[in-house]
Amino acid sequence: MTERYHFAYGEATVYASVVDLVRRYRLDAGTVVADIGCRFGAIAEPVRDLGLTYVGFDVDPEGLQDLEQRGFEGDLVDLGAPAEAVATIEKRLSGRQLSAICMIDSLEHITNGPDVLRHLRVLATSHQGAPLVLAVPNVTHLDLAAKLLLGRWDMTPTGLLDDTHVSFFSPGRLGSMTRQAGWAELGSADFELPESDQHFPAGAPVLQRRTPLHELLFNVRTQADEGAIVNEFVRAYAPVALPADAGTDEGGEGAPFLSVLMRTQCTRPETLQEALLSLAAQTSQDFEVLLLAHDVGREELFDLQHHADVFGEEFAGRVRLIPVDGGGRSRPLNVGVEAARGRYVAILDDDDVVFGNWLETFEHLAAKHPGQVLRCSAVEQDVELTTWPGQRDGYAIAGRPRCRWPEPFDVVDHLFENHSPPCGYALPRSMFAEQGLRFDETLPVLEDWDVLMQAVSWCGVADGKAVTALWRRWRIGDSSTSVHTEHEWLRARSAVIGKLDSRPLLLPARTVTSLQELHNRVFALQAECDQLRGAVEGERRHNAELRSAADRAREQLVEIRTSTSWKVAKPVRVLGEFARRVLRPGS
Amino acid sequence: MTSLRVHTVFYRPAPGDFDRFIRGLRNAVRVAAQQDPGLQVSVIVGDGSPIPALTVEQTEELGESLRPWGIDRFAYDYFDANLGSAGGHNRLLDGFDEDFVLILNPDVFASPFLLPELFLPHADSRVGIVEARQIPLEHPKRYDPDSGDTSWASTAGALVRRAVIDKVGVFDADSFFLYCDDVDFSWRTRLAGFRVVHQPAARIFHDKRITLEGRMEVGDAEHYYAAEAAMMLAWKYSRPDLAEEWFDSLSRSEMPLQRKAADRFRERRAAGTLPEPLDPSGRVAEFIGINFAEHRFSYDDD
Repeated sequence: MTERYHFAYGEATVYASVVDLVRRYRLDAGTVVADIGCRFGAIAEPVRDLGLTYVGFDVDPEGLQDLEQRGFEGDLVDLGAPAEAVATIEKRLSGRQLSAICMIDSLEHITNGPDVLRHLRVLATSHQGAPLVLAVPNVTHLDLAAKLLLGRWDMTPTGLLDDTHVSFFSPGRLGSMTRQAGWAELGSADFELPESDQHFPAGAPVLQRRTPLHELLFNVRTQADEGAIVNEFVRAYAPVALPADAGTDEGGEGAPFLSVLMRTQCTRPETLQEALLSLAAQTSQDFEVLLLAHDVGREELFDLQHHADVFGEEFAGRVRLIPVDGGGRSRPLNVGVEAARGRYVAILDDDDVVFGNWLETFEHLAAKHPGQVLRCSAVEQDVELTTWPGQRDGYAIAGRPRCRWPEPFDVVDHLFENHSPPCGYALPRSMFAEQGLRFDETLPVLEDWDVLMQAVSWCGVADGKAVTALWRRWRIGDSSTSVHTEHEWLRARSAVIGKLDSRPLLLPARTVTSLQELHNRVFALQAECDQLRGAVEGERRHNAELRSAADRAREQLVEIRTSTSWKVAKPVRVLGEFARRVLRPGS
Repeated sequence: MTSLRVHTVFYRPAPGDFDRFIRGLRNAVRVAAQQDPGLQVSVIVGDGSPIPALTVEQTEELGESLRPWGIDRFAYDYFDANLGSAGGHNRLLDGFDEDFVLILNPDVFASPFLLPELFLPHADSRVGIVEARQIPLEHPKRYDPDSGDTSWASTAGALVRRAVIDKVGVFDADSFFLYCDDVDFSWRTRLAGFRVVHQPAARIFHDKRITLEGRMEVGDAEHYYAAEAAMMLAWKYSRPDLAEEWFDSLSRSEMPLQRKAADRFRERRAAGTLPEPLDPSGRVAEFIGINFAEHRFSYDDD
């Protein structure tokens, strides 16, 4: 080993984070902190300062000798044989109670990590559930991800890519390994370094902070999962029961093609029945429905379940009723995407209706353009509340379906306004499950536009060129267009545009041409406008000249009328006028 | 105890159409049987396709599988000829002795409460036909919001009382091959003193599609048969003026199929095989523009 691992304790180091977790989660009943893979025991003194007994364990005698010289206990253990290692630890403790177990920068050096963690769990449970504090390097640090894009993987003597590491950890792998070994996370004090030891070549745009490329990568990485700038995960765990081997079926074999998220407040039972009917009548039935009952009472939950059950077991078995309490329009959607199992996710509100080929068209598009946003046309239809025969509350169609939204999808148009009602598209679930996308719960409306734009930016769009959904516009009654105030719509629109503006934006190929066309249109309109303005100005000048000439003439006329010669000649003019009338033909 | 027969007539069904039809229907019968355990249901499927959709074994197997859903009898009648909608249903009505017949289009998926909702207005014995509401594209024809009374009932989904068949007879397959057979049947039903009622809570999903312009997708068959049927209907309901007007217009149509329909009308008129005119005073027949009822909106509006 090993001088290269002779690191000193210091503030703002991994060791300080470890000691912080020991202080927070140690067992008061215990007195000893066992440091497994302790090397030179960097935390020995701070642990002693907490009033605890530090005991180091390592396979290398050099560090242990150093510890002994500093007045600390230690023992040789080989984690390649974890049962023996635990026996040695117990022997060294000789009846003393553990307060905590630490394992700093060791798990990445061994190939039998899960086995070691399981044995440490046995040790911890025999010591009243002493916590485990782990520190492991994070290979999902943004520096490493960015450098992979440069084709670089720089092994170094120490650090994130220490050339002696044999096991590598992401947040997910660490969570999964500890869970499987019977450890439940208590808390974390991850050691963050925005610029890790791998931050070279520092001038590369992928690494340089505030470059658009780095910001884009940073956004992708931070949204997807924790740990973008974490150098080492420092986590505390409590021993718990070993988990049953419960495999998940999310997105795997047996998962449906589509998860349909249907928000309902159980206020429109008639249209809800029709939304479900249009799903039951699809030509392809490879979907599940998540009926998201938002702020719905217990009695109404029974009603909703009944609405699904009446379609029979085969359909009802694919409907999951999920109560959602609190939050705005986004909350049930976020609950839905977390519960969804399908490869794609679509939103269908309880007053939408889909045509028979809605799902089938998505399937065809997905086969040709996997991973993209699947978009078809939705048409708008006006409806209004009415009373049906028998004095039942119902609704009436008030006009033919209208294609309000342009075809095909145009990303530039969508930057300014949403032209895609949610019932017309399906999003890859991986955008939520893997890329961390969520509906913005601070938005009262337009949450769908916000999510669509991010999904479109990252996934692209496949256009279906078919009308597959009917979006209902309520003339009176409770649709979002009338429930929310004009102010809320404007505020939400500003917020969505603000979010788009706050990060680098990926646009699909050929967008420059679209922008060029838009620019040319604006330029042509501007030129036309200038021309018209010039013409108006010319007319205005001409008018002014005419007005001035008229004023001059008027003045001259007044002068003539007030002159003596004009007054003297009046009888002559009267006779002349009389003669003109008499001689006019037909008079 | 109520007995019900359900009819549909297939012609070259799209893959999955038949299964979907059965899926919706059997569930609707299950729900109805829960509400009325005495309900007796038989289903007859007619098939005018060039190749039969079901073998004898498949028919028996399907019949067996439908029994637990409350469908007591299932029959499949392969016509070996395209009889059209009216002709197909007439063939299936041969030997009809149930209390009601539910006529459905083959591209229809029945909603769970379809049957109880359709039976509801039939509590009034003056009601002869109750029409279901179609989604996603609702028929625009007007109905009385209080009583449900309407000009005619679409047999995309309609429940007909036996007394109507007894008194009025069956569809006029001689005059109407594919379209307007239901308009004619409804008007004859009303002429016989029965009411024709629209029931909005009785839903069927009728798998119609629209174009990117928001208009109904119209196939070749519709261009021909709808044109032919419109002239026949005008003639049959004592509007020879209208029949002539439409004939003139269709004769000059740019669409060959519409000209062909006009030719056919001309031939029948020359041969004296047009139907005997009814309703000379216009008691039930309504000709409003090119519609046979007042419409609340039009799928052809700009």
